[in-house]
Amino acid sequence: MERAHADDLTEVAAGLTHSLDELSVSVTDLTKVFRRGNREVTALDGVNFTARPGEFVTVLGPSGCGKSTLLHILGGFESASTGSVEVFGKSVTGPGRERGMVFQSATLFPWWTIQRNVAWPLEVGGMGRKASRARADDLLELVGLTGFGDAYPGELSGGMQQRAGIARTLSLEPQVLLMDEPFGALDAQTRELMQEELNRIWQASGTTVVFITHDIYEAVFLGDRVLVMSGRPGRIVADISIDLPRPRGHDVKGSPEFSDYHARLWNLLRDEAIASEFLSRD
Amino acid sequence: MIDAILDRKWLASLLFALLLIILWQCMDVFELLPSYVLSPWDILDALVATTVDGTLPLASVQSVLLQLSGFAVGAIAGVVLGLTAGVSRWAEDFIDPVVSLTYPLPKIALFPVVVIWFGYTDFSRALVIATSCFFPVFVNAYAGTRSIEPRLLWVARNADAGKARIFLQVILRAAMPAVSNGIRISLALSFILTYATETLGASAGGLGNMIEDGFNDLQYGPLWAGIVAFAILGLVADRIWGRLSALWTRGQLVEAMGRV
Repeated sequence: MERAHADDLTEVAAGLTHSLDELSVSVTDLTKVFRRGNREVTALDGVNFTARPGEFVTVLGPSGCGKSTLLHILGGFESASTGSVEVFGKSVTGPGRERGMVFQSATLFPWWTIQRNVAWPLEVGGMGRKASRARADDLLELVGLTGFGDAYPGELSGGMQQRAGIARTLSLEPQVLLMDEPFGALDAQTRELMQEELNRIWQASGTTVVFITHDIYEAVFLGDRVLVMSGRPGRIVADISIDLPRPRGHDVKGSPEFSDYHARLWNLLRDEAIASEFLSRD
Repeated sequence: MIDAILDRKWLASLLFALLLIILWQCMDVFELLPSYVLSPWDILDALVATTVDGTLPLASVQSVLLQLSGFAVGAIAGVVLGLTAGVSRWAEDFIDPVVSLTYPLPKIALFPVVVIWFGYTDFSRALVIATSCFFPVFVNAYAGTRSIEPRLLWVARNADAGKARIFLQVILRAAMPAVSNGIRISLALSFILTYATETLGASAGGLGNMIEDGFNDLQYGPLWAGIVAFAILGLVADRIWGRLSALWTRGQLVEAMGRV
């Protein structure tokens, strides 16, 4: 059942990504300047990167480097000051169903059951009540929440809520999944489990993922590529391909290659973290 | 044994209420009560007497009609204007200063002015009740709408939901617990104001008038019957609203308390 469903999602993704040399995400010379009173704060300063269809890109950076801002601009919830952001060749001007956001907290609607929460975006898209709920049940199965459809969000643990949040975002059938430190608020064990789950879900769905994190282990474990961002103003200072075999189980975290990547990224990130921790107070 | 009883909360509170009533009755037996405080038994007697002669049911109906009409008008206006001010900056600029200015005023103080205008009529009374009931509902509906988690709106926009849908299915639902609290406060207020306005002016009718007449004529039976009727009506109204709002806000109750 789950297998069949996974194939189904892959087909959808394949249909959307017909041209292989087309870029999924293309960010060019992106800057973002916030005005605070009469002061200007540059959050992003000339960010450039691209992602191929189906690629898992993690964005790693010290706190306050503007990585969330980058994701909000990709999601269409904030606007760029200059530069361009394109998703599958289309310029981003506002929120859209083809770009599904997952936030640090699950942000489920507490007044509805888990099933209704996951079904809601489908209802909004015009699907009938019965069909949308059946589809929601399939997605809940995909994220390992079978049998919890009738529960309210408040009855579930943080990890389960986040799974439901991911299922809800997947119901949009997004071409790009934008994840803003989705496991940051979870305890260490749950986070590890969720990372493995996400690996599985992503491989089943075939969507492009842009995943923000400040956790080097997470960035290496999940990503096909890791983009390292500098402290504020945020720029991309390194773009490192992670050539670890897939599917990745938790044992990969103990491999020497994994340690090498970790050391390399820490060297890059260390200076940025120190700079943002001690120098850029404002 | 005691733990088992305390586990059943309603049973424990029932036993406690029963204990107080027995204590009260005992004080009467030992002649510790002044003449104007009737014993539970005498109050029951008065309740039966005023029910049989029809005065209590009539007064109750008059009071409830007055209370409900004032409460409904005030609460509906509070919900509508509170939500409007919550979602529209323009409406907020208009409504908020007026409300802030009139909020601290005890609305019953307006009664004489209203009476000069419309006389000692039920319309005047309902108007004052409605004005009082408006404020708690407005303030709560407004605050409930303003304090919505912005990320929830992002989720809705991500799904490409339209404005009407976002208002009805997200903003309104998010504001429901606050709105419901405001309504609950207004419900209690409406009974207070019903009593107050019924005691003012001649031939008002209703429970307030019945209590006031009992006081003037030293008829403590009807006086206490009226008080108890008010207490029962208030309790029933509060419980009905509590049940209704729990249906609407079940998920949020779960979130706030971990269970229902």
